[in-house]
Amino acid sequence: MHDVIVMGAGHDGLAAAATLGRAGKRVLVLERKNRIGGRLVTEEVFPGFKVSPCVNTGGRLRPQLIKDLCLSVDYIPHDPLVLAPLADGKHLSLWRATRRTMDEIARFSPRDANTYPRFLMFLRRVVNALEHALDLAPPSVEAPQTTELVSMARVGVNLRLLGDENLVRFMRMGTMPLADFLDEWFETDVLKAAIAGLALQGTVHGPRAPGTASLLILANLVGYGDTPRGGMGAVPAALLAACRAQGVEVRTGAEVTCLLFSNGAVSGVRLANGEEIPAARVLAAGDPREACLKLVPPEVLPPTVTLNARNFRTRGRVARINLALKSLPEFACLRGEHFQKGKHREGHFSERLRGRIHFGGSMDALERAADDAKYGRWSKEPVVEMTIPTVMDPGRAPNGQHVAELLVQSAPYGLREGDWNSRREEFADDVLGWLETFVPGLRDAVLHRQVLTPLDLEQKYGLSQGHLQHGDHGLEQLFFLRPMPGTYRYATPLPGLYLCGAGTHPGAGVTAASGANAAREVLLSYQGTSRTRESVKAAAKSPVGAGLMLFGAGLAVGAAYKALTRKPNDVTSAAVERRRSDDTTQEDLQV
Amino acid sequence: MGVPTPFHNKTAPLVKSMRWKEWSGYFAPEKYDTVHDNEYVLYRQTAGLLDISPLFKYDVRGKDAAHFLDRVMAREVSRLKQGQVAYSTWCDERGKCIDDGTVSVLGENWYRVTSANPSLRWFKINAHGFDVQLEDTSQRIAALALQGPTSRKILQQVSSAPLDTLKFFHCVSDRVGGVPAVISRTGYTGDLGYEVWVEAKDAERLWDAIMEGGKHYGVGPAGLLALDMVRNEAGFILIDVDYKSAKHAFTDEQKSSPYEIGLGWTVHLDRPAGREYFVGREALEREKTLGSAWTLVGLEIDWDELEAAYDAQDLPPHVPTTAWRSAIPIFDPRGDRQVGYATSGTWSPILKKNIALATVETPYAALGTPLKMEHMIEFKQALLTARVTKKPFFDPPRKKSTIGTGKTAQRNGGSSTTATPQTART
Repeated sequence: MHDVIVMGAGHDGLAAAATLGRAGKRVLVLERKNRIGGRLVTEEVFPGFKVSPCVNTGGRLRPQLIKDLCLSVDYIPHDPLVLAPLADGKHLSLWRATRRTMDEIARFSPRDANTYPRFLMFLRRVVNALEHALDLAPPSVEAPQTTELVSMARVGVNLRLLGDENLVRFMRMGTMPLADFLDEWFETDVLKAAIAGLALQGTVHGPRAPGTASLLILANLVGYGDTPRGGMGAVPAALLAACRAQGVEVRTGAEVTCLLFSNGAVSGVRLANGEEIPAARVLAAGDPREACLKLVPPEVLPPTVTLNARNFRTRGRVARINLALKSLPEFACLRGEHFQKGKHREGHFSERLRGRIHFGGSMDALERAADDAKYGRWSKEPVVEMTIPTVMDPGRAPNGQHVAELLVQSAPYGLREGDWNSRREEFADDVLGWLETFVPGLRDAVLHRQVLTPLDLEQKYGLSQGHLQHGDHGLEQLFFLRPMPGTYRYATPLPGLYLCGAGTHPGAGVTAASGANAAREVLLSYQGTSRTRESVKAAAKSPVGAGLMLFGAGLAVGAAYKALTRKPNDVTSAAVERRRSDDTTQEDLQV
Repeated sequence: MGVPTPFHNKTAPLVKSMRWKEWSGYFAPEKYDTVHDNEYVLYRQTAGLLDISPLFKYDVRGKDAAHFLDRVMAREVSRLKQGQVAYSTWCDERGKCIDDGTVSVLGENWYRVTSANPSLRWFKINAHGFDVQLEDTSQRIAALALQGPTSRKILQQVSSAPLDTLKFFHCVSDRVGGVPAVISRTGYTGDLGYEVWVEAKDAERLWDAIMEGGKHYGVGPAGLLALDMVRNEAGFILIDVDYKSAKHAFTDEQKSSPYEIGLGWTVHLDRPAGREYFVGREALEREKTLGSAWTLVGLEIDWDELEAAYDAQDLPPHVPTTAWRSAIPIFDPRGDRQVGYATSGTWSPILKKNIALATVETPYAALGTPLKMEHMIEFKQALLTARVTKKPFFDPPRKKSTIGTGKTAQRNGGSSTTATPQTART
């Protein structure tokens, strides 16, 4: 008999399973596909070329998780974070070293170069203030527990400590268009576009849509700019090893077709082959909409869950094109800088290629591409993010050859004319044709290509409507509202059914925070009241939390001391005292 | 502005009062004559003919039709047999009443639901995953209510349906005046009466047939003003008057559970294993155990006190000529504290009583409790005794009797238990 069944062996599911296993629970992971990893896979799409076909970059796993599960993932940090080539041959790189980036920006605007460190400082402080929220289970709105309020208060205090100016700036970001926000800081269009490109990855909106400024914070919270050595598949592989070490059973090729309920609570799952596996707790790590609408038997599904699951915004706007290149064509903007100085040899490419390459480097381009997608067509000048992992990790392609992973940001799930199955190659031709402007000879260098439209992402990776994050990010779909109102602490209104994965808090990124958080909530459900103890422990770790607790403890000691030293008849005398003083006040007033 | 019902060509020339009301977007006659007294007499002494086409109607068909209705209704619909009609409430997840109406079993896997408010969206959300087809038949189906002591005789003139044996809260498919129709023994008057459901294209033929067949039995068109009086006598509540639909409420306090509006008997908590869940179950179970804060009661206002209060102002006693629908404060027996509010009431000509429906705090709901009710007489407040009285105020044996036995139909635990028919809405 298993304690917990985890549906889906993506990174969140595996992280949850390993965490639960570590706490001594008997855990079974059921994966529909014949492989683990979910969205994070390394596939040899072409012989010798190791591609991450679905999600190809991201941030890192949560540090606490890495520590708890003794994970080893070799991350290769991107540096620069972005290279933005422009059609006129100019380019801008955002390096990890601020000074170096300032020098780059100064070529466009000395003023922006001076502003840049302040901008980074602001973002960093906001991220630091909010980071604690990543590891929180979103509280219930209806019945928040005291400990949850303390945790939330901690985030609130952190935000208040940003200071007046920064706090107001942060508050405005909630509903502000990202373009307006960046306009307040910078005048250089390519700089704004490079920053916006990172923030808007995968969302349906252009930078002029209200609310997009908040996505900049989210992107910085969950992180970006790291590629695991060997491809994204290295992340689930490490988590699988941790699962094995904790005695978690992982079964692939085991599709759950139905959740079983008895007395209104989850009692197990039924597999496609008819096998029924009992368990009192089921953690659905995949698409939350599918879990609610397809796996829960309709007769026990509350109507608001039906409605909210349907209304969860998941319309995807991203396509992936993966290329096997026989050689790396020269970038027009890097002419003369294509190879490292003095090292005109294969394998010593410009450092500038060691990160994301962001084509479509203007705010107008970002907005127009989003407009095209909005009206059901792909953009002829799409916003494309390219990474060439083989520049950093040569082992992923045969010697001298390369892998290029393209994320095309303006491919709508629903096409107004035709359908993706018949227009897939036409789309890829358009994208590669446009990239020729920046990388002449790219098409000729292509040995093979793999095109994954939003429809393919849905069908091959189980992403509703092809949304890479299982659901769009917006204030109304974040924290305790993700995936929907009425789900909190990773629990659903259906007793025993829990959710984790990108469709739950914190959403984007490959942090596995939701898996770890959800596992903690599942564990707490066994202990009943010990949520308090757990949270006190967590709160005590932060200086502010510890301070508050000391303060509270001081008050309590003081009150206890007073109570103990009070004489038995003091209660009455105190009452008499009070009445007397009231009288005095009244008399005073009359006078 | 409203639209005409399928009977409009027949009713419009008869509306001498020129008084129309908007009912779910349709023109509905308030009264035909300059006064509505005659129409009240039709309902209670012969037979009143009322156009109830504006009701919302939904046909539910398919393999899972009963299962789906079990889920959405507070009542366990799958207990019903073909030909039965059941009155039910349906609730949101917190057990608060969204609407009330009837469910008729028209055939195998074929049910018809009537409701006061549009309900298609709610039903559709709840139908997720069920093999059912939901059709909004509100416009396609026209209906007449024929209510009153002679209604059975009248229908027998124009239909060969077995009306003598058709039991209260049952229905039968037959022809009326040559038109295919469903006849249900239901109504909103608390009296002997029938509702006849036909395709809209046959509406005028149905009207003519009944008017012709009933000419020797005192049939006459009747409107909503008189209906409001008889439904008060029958103790029937009206949505958004006596309680607020959970879909229309702005605050939680405005919502009511079926238990709080006297419809707790429509809630079936005892269901077969594996089929226990229905929307609102958890909350209703809790309320059943813990008790309800509010109770809907019938009140009879003390006539002597009313007369004395008028007399104190040198006025003769006065009663309203129509039913009223304004919220009136109800106080505890000492008149110190407000413990509820009356929501509708009427002078009952047949009972010679001044009656009201009220929602009061449960401790004050016991039969006979002499509550105080506010009365404005000549711009002055008077507190008159209003005693908690059994509902329905008027409950003639003919309501449930069949000719075959001459007795009141046996209670069978199904639809007709304590059925409060309620279909016509204003």
